[in-house]
Amino acid sequence: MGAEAYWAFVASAYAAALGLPSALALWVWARAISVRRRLAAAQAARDALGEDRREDG
Amino acid sequence: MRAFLASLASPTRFRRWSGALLPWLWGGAGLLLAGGLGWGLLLAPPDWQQGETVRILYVHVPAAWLAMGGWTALALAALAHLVWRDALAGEMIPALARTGAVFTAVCLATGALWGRPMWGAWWVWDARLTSVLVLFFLWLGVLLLAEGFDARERGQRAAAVLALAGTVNLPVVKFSVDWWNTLHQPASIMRLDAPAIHASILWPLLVSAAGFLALFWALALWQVRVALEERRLERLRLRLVQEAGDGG
Repeated sequence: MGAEAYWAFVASAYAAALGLPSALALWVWARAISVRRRLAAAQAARDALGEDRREDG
Repeated sequence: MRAFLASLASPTRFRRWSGALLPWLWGGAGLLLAGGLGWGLLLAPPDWQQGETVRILYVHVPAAWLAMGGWTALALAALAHLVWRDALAGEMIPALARTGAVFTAVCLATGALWGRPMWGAWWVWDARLTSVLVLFFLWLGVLLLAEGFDARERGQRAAAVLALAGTVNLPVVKFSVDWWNTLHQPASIMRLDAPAIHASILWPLLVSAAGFLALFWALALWQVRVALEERRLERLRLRLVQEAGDGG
């Protein structure tokens, strides 16, 4: 096996070592954004409920 | 000490200290990985026997250390969750399991990519490789238990029990190369006497390992912060339903 083939294995190993944790980071980031959005929506719904109550009362 | 740990484990305090720590972990991971991997790829010498493929060491060995070290952290979180019913430790379990599974997968993938040019095989069923594969399945098992129950607390307790039981596999992984005749080489760094590798390879390896360690904890702590936000969302929704019910 030549030196070039060796480098292909090295490059693949580095791609796996950086790619897999990056994929996890992307997944956590997407989850964080989704939770933040849902939290804001739930908070807005709660505020609207309180406002309705005040108007009714 | 117990009081100090308990104060750190309060979700409010955790949010504060992890929020302050995370930028340092991300920054440290970026700098150390750029330095360690750049050093390993461009400056460190090739091995006289393995040639350029020795550079896989700078990603494979840190991943292997984190696969085992991560399990030690998981076992401590599991113990805290089972003994003190610590909620934060319960949230640490799936976060560590996901991160540990990823780093163990990195260890297995980079090992296969190193094994093919050196041994002529992607995989052999020797004791070291097989025990690391078992470790990978244990990480997945803990994750499935922690996330698979509707009653979250129950799942986390079951996962904690598996995490503690799975600790038995750690000495098997570590000493497999001494106990059995393996194709995988014996330990060359974590030995009772001095490391058996040259300083020109050891130093970039240590820098790279520090970078991967920072990355591991950045990923794990970030997941715990997101999980705490999810619990907050669940409580908010529950309160919303109760308040809407009270009004009607």
